[in-house]
Amino acid sequence: MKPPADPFEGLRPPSPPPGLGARVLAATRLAPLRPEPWLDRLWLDRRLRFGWLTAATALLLLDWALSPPFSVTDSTMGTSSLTFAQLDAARPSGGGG
Amino acid sequence: MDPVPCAEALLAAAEPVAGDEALAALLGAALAGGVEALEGLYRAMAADLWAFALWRGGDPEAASDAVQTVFCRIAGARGTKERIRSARAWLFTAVRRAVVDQARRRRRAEELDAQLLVASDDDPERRAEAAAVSRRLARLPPRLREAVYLRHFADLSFREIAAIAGVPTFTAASRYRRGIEKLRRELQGGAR
Repeated sequence: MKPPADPFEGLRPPSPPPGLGARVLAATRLAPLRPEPWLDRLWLDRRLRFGWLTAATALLLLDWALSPPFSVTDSTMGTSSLTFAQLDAARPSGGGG
Repeated sequence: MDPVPCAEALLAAAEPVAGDEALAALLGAALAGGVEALEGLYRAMAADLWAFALWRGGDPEAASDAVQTVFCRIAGARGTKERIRSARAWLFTAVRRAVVDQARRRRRAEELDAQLLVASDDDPERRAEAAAVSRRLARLPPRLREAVYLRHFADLSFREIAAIAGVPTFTAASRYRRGIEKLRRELQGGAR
């Protein structure tokens, strides 16, 4: 026996329960009275979302812009930031290899 | 087995449904706080949304909760302006999120035993067929089942289905094709 080309022929999804309309519309009347969680505004309000995303991006860029060009970690002296010029100056003169 | 059209052909055939402008206007008015618009939106979409929630989550009570959550969200929007490209896709996305959130809160996979399809008439043979197809549908993974519902019963385009499921358009078409293919295979196996 071959199944029909359309497996849903003559079938349809069930209907919602009869009392659902009254229940949902009653609940929606109460919805505007409920206080909006303030934290949700961070995600839902487009201006706020743009604001905090811009601030976070600006902080990241600032951090990247102000970071030293080269840093050396020394186990005894901790982390120090030195430029290539400072490293060249600190190199003992005449020392080869 | 019948040849199943490839995803590209399905994509080309998919056209957005008419009447979305009227629905978008209703949704916009409901989001702006219009009570009559909200009731109109409920009358226009509640059955489709409830059935989709049932297909996605498998529990009639949870489906009712999901529909209620979405309509409460619309009523509580307090006039916030949202950019909505497709009202139907927006509503189905909201229902899908509500169902997924509920499932996450339950934290356990439940056996789907709800009747996902009913017969269009009182023919006992058709009713038995509806129960058999429902059982096989229940075995499909939810992501395939939702693609089948949205394409076949909600008549959405693959672009809209992709937006609802948060996947590329090609993936949405592929899920639909795989869902139908698997269902046909199961029905063929059961009919032997």
